[in-house]
Amino acid sequence: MAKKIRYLDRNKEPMLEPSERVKGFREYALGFSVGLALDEANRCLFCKDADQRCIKGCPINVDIPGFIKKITEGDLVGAYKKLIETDIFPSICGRVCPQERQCEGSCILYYDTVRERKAKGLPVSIGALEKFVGDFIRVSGIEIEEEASPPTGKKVAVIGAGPSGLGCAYDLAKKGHEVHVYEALHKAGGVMRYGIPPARLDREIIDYEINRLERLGVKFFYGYVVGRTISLEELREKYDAVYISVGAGRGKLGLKGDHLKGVFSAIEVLTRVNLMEAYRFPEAPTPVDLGNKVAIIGGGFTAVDCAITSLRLGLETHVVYRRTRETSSARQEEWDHLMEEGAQIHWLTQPVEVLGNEKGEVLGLKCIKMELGEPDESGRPRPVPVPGSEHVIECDSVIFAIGQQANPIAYQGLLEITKWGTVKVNDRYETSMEGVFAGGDAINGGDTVVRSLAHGREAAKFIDEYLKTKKWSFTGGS
Amino acid sequence: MYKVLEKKSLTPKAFIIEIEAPHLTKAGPGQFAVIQRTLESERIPLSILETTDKGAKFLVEVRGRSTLELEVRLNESREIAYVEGPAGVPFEVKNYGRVLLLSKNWGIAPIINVGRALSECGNKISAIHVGDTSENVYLINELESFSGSVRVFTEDGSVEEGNVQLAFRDYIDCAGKPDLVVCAGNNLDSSLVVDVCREEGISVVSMVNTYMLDTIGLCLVCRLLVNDEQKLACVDGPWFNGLEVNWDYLLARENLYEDEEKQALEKFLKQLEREKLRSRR
Ligand SMILES: Cc1cc2nc3c(=O)[nH]c(=O)nc-3n(C[C@H](O)[C@H](O)[C@H](O)COP(=O)(O)OP(=O)(O)OC[C@H]3O[C@@H](n4cnc5c(N)ncnc54)[C@H](O)[C@@H]3O)c2cc1C
Ligand SMILES: Cc1cc2nc3c(=O)[nH]c(=O)nc-3n(C[C@H](O)[C@H](O)[C@H](O)COP(=O)(O)OP(=O)(O)OC[C@H]3O[C@@H](n4cnc5c(N)ncnc54)[C@H](O)[C@@H]3O)c2cc1C
Ligand code: SF4
Ligand code: SF4
Ligand code: FES
Repeated sequence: MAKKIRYLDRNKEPMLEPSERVKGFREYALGFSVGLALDEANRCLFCKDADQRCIKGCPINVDIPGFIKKITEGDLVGAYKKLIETDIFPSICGRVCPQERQCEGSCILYYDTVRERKAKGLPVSIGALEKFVGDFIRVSGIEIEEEASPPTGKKVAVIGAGPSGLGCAYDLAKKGHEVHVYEALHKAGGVMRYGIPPARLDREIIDYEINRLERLGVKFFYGYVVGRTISLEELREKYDAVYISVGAGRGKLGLKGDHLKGVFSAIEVLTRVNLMEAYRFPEAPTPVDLGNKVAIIGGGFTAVDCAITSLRLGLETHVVYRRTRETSSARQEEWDHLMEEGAQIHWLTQPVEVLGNEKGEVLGLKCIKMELGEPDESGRPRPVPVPGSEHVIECDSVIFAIGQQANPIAYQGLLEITKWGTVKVNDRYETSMEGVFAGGDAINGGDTVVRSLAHGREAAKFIDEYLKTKKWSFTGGS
Repeated sequence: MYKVLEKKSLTPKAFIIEIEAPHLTKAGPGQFAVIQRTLESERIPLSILETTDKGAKFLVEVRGRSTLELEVRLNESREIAYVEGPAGVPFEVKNYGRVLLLSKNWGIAPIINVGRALSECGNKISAIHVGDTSENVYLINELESFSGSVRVFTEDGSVEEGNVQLAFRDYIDCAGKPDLVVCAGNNLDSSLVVDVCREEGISVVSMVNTYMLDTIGLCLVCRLLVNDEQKLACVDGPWFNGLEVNWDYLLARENLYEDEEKQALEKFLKQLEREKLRSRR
């Protein structure tokens, strides 16, 4: 009997009520129970051509039907092993990936990627299943042996402990190389640690993953700012190869009035709250001060995370974005969550000036309404100002959650860079300095956790090859 | 964990620590470090007073919660969880000729570090140190060890009464214009010094004081305007041509977290009082 296709009965993860969510920084998506996970896994059709569908949609090409099959067989250890063949951090990616644009956006129940047309259903909850498997293994305390090959005697330095550096370190360690990770901050994780709020990604998970790496023999050196503490050249001399994964992330301002005291970069606010735990101030010694009303400028992940943060600090929260919800790069469901939690989201609204008083305090954000006009070069309709629509959003602070700049101190003046200031690499992640590779946001200026992770793992393959052959093919140009 | 090899009290408000941290031993003049006593503590920037063969020495002036926490807790356990550095761009050391060093309070630490290097490079050094009170007067011997002349003032008159700007003017009247002024410790004082330098046509390099958080150029809390361009004190500084710095901008951002700092200090003081009570019982 043919299996009945369950188009619409997608299981949703249980969630905290909005009124509970805003009370603190605990995770609000509570995860599948075993029963829900099993039922959801059974919705998967185990497509023979999944490599043209969900797998292709995933930047790291997780064997999706493969791991889901294991769930249906009740073999969660098997599911986990299948997952970490590609995605070594299933608990993290299951939480933070924008699945609707990646794996789930290419699930046949939802969208037929082969015929390029919409299907009639809702995708399998791939992310939630992945999170379920990762969480199950972590919480149950089952230790999955992850063995490293015998030592090769080669040493590799990884600069920056974000997802890209961690991914690279993991694979290199497994291949038997000695890996030293140099991280400027006092904790590992990169944006996952200082950017993404614990409400979306519990810090325990990051700690667990770092611990896995340490068990594989990876050594972490904190407080090393490469480019200041030690130079790239020195590292190059001391190690057989170097991987640069310093991310992007230098914040950006840029509006009349951005000198006022209540104006912050998103990274400052997020770092204070998420890394330094300012939400526990004064128990935690690092403060944050956004007043009572905050306006957040931007429409991506960063803006969403700032809004999640300010709502939980108990503030009246406005998000101001000059485009539409559809063009936002954040997860769509996050916008629903924010609105449920009481955020006011101003789509098609362009901020023009931060207004302040003589004491340098912020009084409000002057904005103008936009409407969609002719398409721009990228084919998206260009927002154009509506004449006479100036208005002021009253607020005590303004957070800039727009665009990132490169963060070049590790490689400034030493490597060829692109016109955006990111490191120039070829398709083997090689840079203009022999033996030095780069990946993650440092080469693409801001993408996703999973793509950065994928870079790290692919680069590890080329680094391993280089260590064996000493062949170098970067030629510059392009 | 980093070991604190030595902790020496200078005045009731200030002490010196030597931290064992191999990555600091090669720090250049005028660079700083960021330390956290525990991984939960605030990240505080401290200038490197001198590098040693095991790490570096710092002068710490007790001002608020985090510096007090260091003072109190380091008596209990000589350990520091995190030391980042050397951070910042080293001071450009070359022969400028006659150099006048001007320091306010803890500013004497970076001033000594830079001054010593300048002296070794053949500059003729004079120095003026000003403290709020006599409790902010320390390390004068060190300063004297490489300076031709050293004068010390306090604003409350407990030592010779004076402030940075007056002392500077007085110096010019007696000794003439120096080829370079280097100042550190306090934005308001530095801005006043810069005013005099502008009038008199003297070059000046000053350290800027800003809040700092990540110190790798991500958060922008340490931003300032230099020649109307945004710069970051943590990665572009902390030393800038004083004449190009927009001091009003810096001064306006100085008290960003004033209320919270008070609250944090009070909370910590209360905690210390409770601990005292407990130990008496
Ligand atoms: C606020 C925010 C929210 C986001 N949310 C999501 C999301 O929900 N889902 C998603 O998929 N993506 C999200 N992203 C994007 C994603 O986080 C990044 O693409 C990803 O973290 C990049 O990984 P990376 O390893 O290249 O760099 P990073 O994560 O930036 O890590 C770089 C590390 O290098 C360190 N470093 C920097 N310079 C130096 C130096 N000179 N010496 C030593 N160490 C250094 C940094 O301290 C940092 O730890 C978000 C980004 C931001 C900013
Ligand atoms: C580059 C640099 C070098 C420094 N070198 C020294 C030194 O050698 N010796 C020394 O005693 N002090 C030094 N300081 C100042 C020292 O960092 C602050 O006094 C300390 O952070 C205050 O912390 P607190 O909690 O004790 O006081 P708080 O009550 O928090 O603050 C007192 C004042 O210190 C400043 N401050 C507070 N937090 C920070 C922060 N995170 N970063 C920067 N400034 C802050 C503010 O102006 C604040 O008003 C330096 C500061 C900078 C930026
Ligand atoms: S890693 Fe991310 S994109 Fe890939 S399958 Fe998992 S959740 Fe989907
Ligand atoms: S496309 Fe959807 S149904 Fe098909 S294998 Fe992938 S997740 Fe399962
Ligand atoms: S301290 Fe964050 S950018 Fe300088």
